Amino acid sequence: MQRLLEYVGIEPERFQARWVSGSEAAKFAEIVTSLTEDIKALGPNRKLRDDHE
Amino acid sequence: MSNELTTQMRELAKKLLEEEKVQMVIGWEKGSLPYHSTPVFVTNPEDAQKLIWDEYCANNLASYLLDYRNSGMKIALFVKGCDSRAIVRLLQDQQINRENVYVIGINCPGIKDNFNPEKEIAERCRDCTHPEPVLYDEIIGEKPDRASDKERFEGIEEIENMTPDEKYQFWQKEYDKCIRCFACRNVCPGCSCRECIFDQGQKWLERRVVSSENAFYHLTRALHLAGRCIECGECERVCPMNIPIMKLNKKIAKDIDSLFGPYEAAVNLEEMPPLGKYKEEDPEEFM
Amino acid sequence: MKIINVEKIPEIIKKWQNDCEVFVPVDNEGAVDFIPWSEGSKITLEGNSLVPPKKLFFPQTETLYKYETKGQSANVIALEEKTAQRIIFGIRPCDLKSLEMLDDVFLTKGFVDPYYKLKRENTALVALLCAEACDTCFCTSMNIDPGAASGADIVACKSGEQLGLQAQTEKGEELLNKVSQLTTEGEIDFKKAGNFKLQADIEGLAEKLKEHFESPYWEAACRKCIGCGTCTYLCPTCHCFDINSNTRGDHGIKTRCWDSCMFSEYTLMAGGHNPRPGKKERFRQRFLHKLQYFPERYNKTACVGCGRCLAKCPAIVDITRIITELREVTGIGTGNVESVS
Repeated sequence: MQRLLEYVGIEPERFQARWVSGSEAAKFAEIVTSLTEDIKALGPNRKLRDDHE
Repeated sequence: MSNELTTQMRELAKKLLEEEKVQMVIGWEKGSLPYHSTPVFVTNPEDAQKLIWDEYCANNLASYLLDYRNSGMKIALFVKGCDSRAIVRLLQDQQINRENVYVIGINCPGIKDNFNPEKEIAERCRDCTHPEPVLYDEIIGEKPDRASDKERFEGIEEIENMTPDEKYQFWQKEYDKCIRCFACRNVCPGCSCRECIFDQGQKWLERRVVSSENAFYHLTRALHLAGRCIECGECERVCPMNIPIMKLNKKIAKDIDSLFGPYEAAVNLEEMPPLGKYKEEDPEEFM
Repeated sequence: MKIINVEKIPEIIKKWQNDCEVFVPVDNEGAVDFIPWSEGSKITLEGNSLVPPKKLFFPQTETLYKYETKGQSANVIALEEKTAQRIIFGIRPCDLKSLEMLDDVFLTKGFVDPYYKLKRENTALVALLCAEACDTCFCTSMNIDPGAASGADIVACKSGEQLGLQAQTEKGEELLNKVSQLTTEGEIDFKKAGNFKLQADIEGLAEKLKEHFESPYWEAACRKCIGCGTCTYLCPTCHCFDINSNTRGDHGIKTRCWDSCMFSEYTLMAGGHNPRPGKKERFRQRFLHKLQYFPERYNKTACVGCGRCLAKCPAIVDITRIITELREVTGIGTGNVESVS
């Protein structure tokens, strides 16, 4: 999926998949934090936007 | 050669129907124009004489088996190399029973494009890797003596090397052409869902034909075929708007090649798609 | 008749574009489409557009109005009407005829569609007569003259490098006056297209089809159809649509989009029932709508013989063959079709 997004001109970091077990709360928090940081660094996505929002 | 094949096809079909080995034979017949060869469904032995083989027999007939998947009918059909992989696709996806289809392979010399009849050979035949059918009960025609003059993933790297904005512009322009006729989906032997995600009351895809919806359609369609696309090029052939659909499909095939090792979908009945099976050494790019 | 060299067509269009938008047929990577002319646009004067000009009057996706909700109340916000004048240059006689049928649907029998009406009134039509038939053309079978263009404001015909322009209405007269410095008075030796490769005879078919709704023919004929919407979307007369709300939080838009009788969602009811559940019913609907229902309601066959459907059908479902086969099914004989070599 990331590779396909990159191929159509979207920053691949915007889509991330991770395997987290229900008992791994700390890992989950860590991943969400890092994902949020990745997205913040990229800024708002202007691509694939619907004109009608 | 084609006339000889036509005679052979008619005789075979007639015999199969007369002996009641099958209830229907799917082949091609001549349309109104010289470059129109069109699917025909023969149920009477007398009608077997409608069948023809020529360089315009483009349609992959295997997809029609989906229409009869619950009928219990025994059906014979003619397949070119690429079409035979569609049979493997349908078998691996458990859409048809092997004993209900009688597959007559045609050693394919390459065909022409009935939408661009002036071209020497159809674009999709230029990088054909399997002119000889990979699965059949019977085979006709001489072994083709031809080599592809195009690399399997030609043109993909060109797009990969563009800047993100160039890529985005390139694809945006293509999506904008789309009229969402769904011909690419409907013709595909890999699209066998009983109810397609795109036909669910606009839950996922709105009816509006705008760039964002069109992009969602094309990316989702391609991704749903990841590892299963048999690269027959039917989707691109039937697109009335000339969207380079195979450039999405082949990109995914190329990635699968690089992630899971060389793989061509539906060439070998025993070899399941990499995404359809688990191996301990599977890459964990995202874990 | 006014004469101009074909090379000078852009100059005319430029003049016209001073006070309106001019749509011209342009080849977009193999798909000819009517798009607003801009400097450098290469106008296609051969063949016909792939996408029919109906989209300029009845767009594939059209926003009807906006709405917003506040608590229990809702507010409908009308869209600003676009009243700018437009010209369509290069519309073919077959497509011109299709506009008559769309007029029937959107303007008559007590139903007037304001969205369609406005676009129709704001548009001047410059028709281009056909000197040559495409392989898939059969307009003459649908009683359309490739050498006439009733309903157009200006009729254009091409002979060699010359384009002749003749006004047919006041609007057309005005437009030609605007470009009078670019044209000269003269005549043109125009020969309309003949030698059509495809033919079909619809005479007497509509009345007969009523009795053959349940004919086994439909089951056999539909087999090769793959159920895509190419034929309906490229058809200049198909006009089925679907209206949807596209809500985002407390606001949204109401849109009208083309629909296709080929799709599984077509006539699907809220409870899940569909009176046209399969390929056979949908396929039959398409052909009976064109050949029986439309003639019954509007006294016209909803086919103009442009041949787009069969030219682009993935399985080459050929409407001329269907008509010929239906003549046999209904027992009205092979009809008046000259054998074509």
